[in-house]
Amino acid sequence: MRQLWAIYRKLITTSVAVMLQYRLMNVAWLLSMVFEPIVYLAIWGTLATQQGGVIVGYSGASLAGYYVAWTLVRQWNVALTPFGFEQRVREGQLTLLLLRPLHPFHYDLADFIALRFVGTLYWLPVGVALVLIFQPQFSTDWRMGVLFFVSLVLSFIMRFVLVYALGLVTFWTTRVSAVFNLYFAVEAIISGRLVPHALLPAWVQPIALVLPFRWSFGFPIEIIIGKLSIAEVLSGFAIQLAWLAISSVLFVVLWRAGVKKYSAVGA
Amino acid sequence: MKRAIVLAWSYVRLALMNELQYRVNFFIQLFESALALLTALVVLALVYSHTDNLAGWQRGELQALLGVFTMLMALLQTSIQPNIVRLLSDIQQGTFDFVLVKPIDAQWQVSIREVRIWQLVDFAAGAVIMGHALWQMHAQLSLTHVVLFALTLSGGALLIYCVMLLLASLAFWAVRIDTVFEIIESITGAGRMPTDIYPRWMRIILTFVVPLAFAVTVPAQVITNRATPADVLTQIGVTAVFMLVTRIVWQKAVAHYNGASA
Repeated sequence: MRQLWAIYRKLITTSVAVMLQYRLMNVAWLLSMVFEPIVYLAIWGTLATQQGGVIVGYSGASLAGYYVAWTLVRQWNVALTPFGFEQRVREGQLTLLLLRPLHPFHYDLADFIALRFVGTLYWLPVGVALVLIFQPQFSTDWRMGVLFFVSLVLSFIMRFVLVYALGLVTFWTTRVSAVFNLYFAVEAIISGRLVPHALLPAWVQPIALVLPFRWSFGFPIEIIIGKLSIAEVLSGFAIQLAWLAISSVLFVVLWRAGVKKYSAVGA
Repeated sequence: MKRAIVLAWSYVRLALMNELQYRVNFFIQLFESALALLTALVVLALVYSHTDNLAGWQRGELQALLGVFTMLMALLQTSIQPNIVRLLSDIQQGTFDFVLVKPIDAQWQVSIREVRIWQLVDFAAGAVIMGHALWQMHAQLSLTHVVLFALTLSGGALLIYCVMLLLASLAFWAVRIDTVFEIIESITGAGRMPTDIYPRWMRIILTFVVPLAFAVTVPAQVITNRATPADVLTQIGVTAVFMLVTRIVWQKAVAHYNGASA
């Protein structure tokens, strides 16, 4: 365990150093994520104004808070997509990764943890600019800040394992991108990325609570803008952990079966 | 002039023959287009479950706007973007030399070389969405409307082309500008909503930097009978200015080009 920790530290520092070289690319990557929430904020902000300043409990300022926090959560949501994994299988790169002494998952996780550090670093000035422009309103309770960070870390790990596990399906067939596209479209709609949970149609809301999507996106945002009580946050953590457990089991099962099946395309 | 058109047509034919080999791609494209449109329609449904007008736009009008946006983006994907990508790689690798030595206008040449026909599925999808919206609104369309719509839609496509080529011209000075395109692409997403809903600074970007306000909003206004003659004339005027500027910048850029071995 201590050895693994040392390896992770080394891998992460190396990754961070590599990523910091591409400054312009990082900035562009970040900026390309900033305009999407501005569109949503404009829509719901306009609606709130039209309806006398509040829409389903969201004022203009709390909507601004929602979509400013969105930009950070979006950063933390980035994971190794099934498309990425499919490419490895299809092009046979996975063979090389399997030969390394450590499970490929560790290298990827370390890489994406490093991306969190770099992404957050680059996000800071953008976040400040967004706060100045949109005058958002956040929770003034410091405990919510701490809980927000915990939920952010949990949502990252949970979604990372889940999406990674989905990618393992490509051990059996590499022609599933349509299915994944459908998955991500559903995720975009009910995770809170397009619209806060409370603004979803009433019949969708309970469904969204059962599925993992909201817990890796809307949940941390709702914490930092003060929409949830401490008790709600804690039970949310439990659901995040439950999904992490389910994803991990799924990952282990699929990996064991898949790796046996895998013989490198073209071999 | 005739030679230029014949050349463009042969590129289209070549692309057709090439892509008809990969017919499965048609179905993949069909699925992706349907999915993207469904998502957009869900957003519309969500918005109008809370209101019946967004900054003065009724649901049908906004759906028509979405259709126009989808059609323009399809044109972008079909022809403009693949050509720009090829141009950028030509400049980076020095193979732009081959364009210059051919006896036909270089700007025309780099604008017609690539065609992705399956992306036209998106165009059809956009047209269906718009048609459905108009049908639901019981829109009375005169011939003038249709002609003006075709005119302003082409104007919109030309505007987008100009912006892309203007940016690509920068590559003659600062070789690596892929990142600029990524940012522009993300701003483009804002075009699926009427510019009236955005804060002022964003409207300014959408009017002067990436002129989606003219490219998308004006044709949508025309087809939903909300446009004034001034709107149409402004769009045509802006397009003319953009084309002129693009031409001048392009010629300066090419003059600045040193070739692969220099």
